[in-house]
Amino acid sequence: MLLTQIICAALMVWGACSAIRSDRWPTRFQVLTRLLTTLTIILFIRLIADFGGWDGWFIYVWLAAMLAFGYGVFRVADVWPDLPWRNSAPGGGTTDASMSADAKASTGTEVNAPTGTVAKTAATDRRRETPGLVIGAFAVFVVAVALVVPGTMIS
Amino acid sequence: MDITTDSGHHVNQVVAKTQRSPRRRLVAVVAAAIVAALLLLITPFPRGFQGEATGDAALRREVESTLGSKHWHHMAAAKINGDEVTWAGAGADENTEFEIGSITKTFTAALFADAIERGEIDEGTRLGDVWPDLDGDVAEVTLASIAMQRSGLPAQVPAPDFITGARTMVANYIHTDPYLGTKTELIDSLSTVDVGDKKPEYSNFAFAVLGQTLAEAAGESYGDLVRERITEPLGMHDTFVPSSPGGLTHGYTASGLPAAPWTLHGAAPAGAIRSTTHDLSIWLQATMRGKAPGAEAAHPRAEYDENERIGWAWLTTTSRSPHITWHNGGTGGYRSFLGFNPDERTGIIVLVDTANSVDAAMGLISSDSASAADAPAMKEG
Repeated sequence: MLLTQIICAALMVWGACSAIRSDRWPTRFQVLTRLLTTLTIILFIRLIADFGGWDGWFIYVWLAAMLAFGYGVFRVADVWPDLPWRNSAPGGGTTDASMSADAKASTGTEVNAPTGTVAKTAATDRRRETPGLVIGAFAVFVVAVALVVPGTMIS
Repeated sequence: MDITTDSGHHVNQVVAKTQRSPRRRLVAVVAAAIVAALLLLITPFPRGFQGEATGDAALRREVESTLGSKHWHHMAAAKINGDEVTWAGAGADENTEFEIGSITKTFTAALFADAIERGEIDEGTRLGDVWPDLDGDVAEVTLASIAMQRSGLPAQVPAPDFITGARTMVANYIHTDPYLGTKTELIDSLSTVDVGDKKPEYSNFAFAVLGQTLAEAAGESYGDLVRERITEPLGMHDTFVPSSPGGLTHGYTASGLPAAPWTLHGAAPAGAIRSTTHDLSIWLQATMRGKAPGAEAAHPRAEYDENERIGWAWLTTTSRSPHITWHNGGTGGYRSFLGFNPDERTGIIVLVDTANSVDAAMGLISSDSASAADAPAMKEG
């Protein structure tokens, strides 16, 4: 049990740090993917961990991680209007669909089309964003089902 | 406008940001507060026992104080002092049914002792004597070595195939009964296991095999054996081996999630019995006084570790004062403890429907330090 708690605590620390840094990702897709990954970890720990009592230590690590996650959400919500939905498409300017409405309206800036290696990287990142978000959402769904459904089936 | 490329080759667009208006900050704060509140809602905060208090208030407070802060649900306890039994509970009473988990092994061990007395087997009976299709080292394993947890058999029931092993692992994570195999599959798995060193090592698999072997020798099911040879003669009417999970109450994990009832299927002799503190007080007193069928199973026979000796299933902790003979139990949603000192004629039973250890209950009749000079002489078996 102690080993499980230690592993879960380490995961929570990683998740908390990840949540706090979520606002550094350049697109909304990537930010959401990061948050969903952290949420999956949180729900999985809720599923398997023994939280102990007030005289233990695990509950305090959990509470600190929850506060960190909340702070991460604050930082994300603060920068959200400035973020594009996705990475810029190669070979042309940023499409309207990929820029958030706020960013377009607020800046009146033009984005130069990325070229060469940068364009290839941007295209790769863009192709990875959707699967990453889908996988993150699916992981949350699976763990949430594992948390909720068995309990509803028990008479 | 500035475009930069960072070391990770991401193109970061730094556009002229809008000023962070108070409204935007407020939205961010509200979003964070909502998320934090939702996460706190799913937090299993430590709390005391829940539900209506029953029985003796002093004993209930004593149990709560001893077991400490955890995420608890319901509890039933009994303290025995000679002929006097004191009950206490929270959200449960002496007639509330709990899964007793591995306390079941004391019943299995009693059936073993009782079968010896009846002449169905003897202490030297081997698995191969009852299951003639077995051969090799596993056939040479004696029932007595199993009863003293030193048979060399694996600790857990081996999975017959990958799918069953995966289902067992998933069952542990979603808090359902991980014991899926039938009696036939349990015995068939004996042909696939390696027998290790015959050193003390707790084994659910071995005790499941012991119980099913006793049932085979008697020509009855394990559940019928328990009923006919132990619970009916002693008047333990609320104690039984469940045959299916339908209609059974359930407990909770240590973090408060519902846990499905366990029947253990073919491994029932290792931990499937359901009982009440009322019935277990009968079992405790009858065993303590030597009146129960197979009561000699409780007598310590060999060393288990540096602080404990073992009889048949029953452990006796010699580092406590007075020494305490006991067994505990645990399933996905329950924990239990039953212990006694035959010289002082005291005993304690604690049953909870939360997967938090209640072994600290031994402190209610025995303290942590032992004086060798004061220790009563242990009966050798």
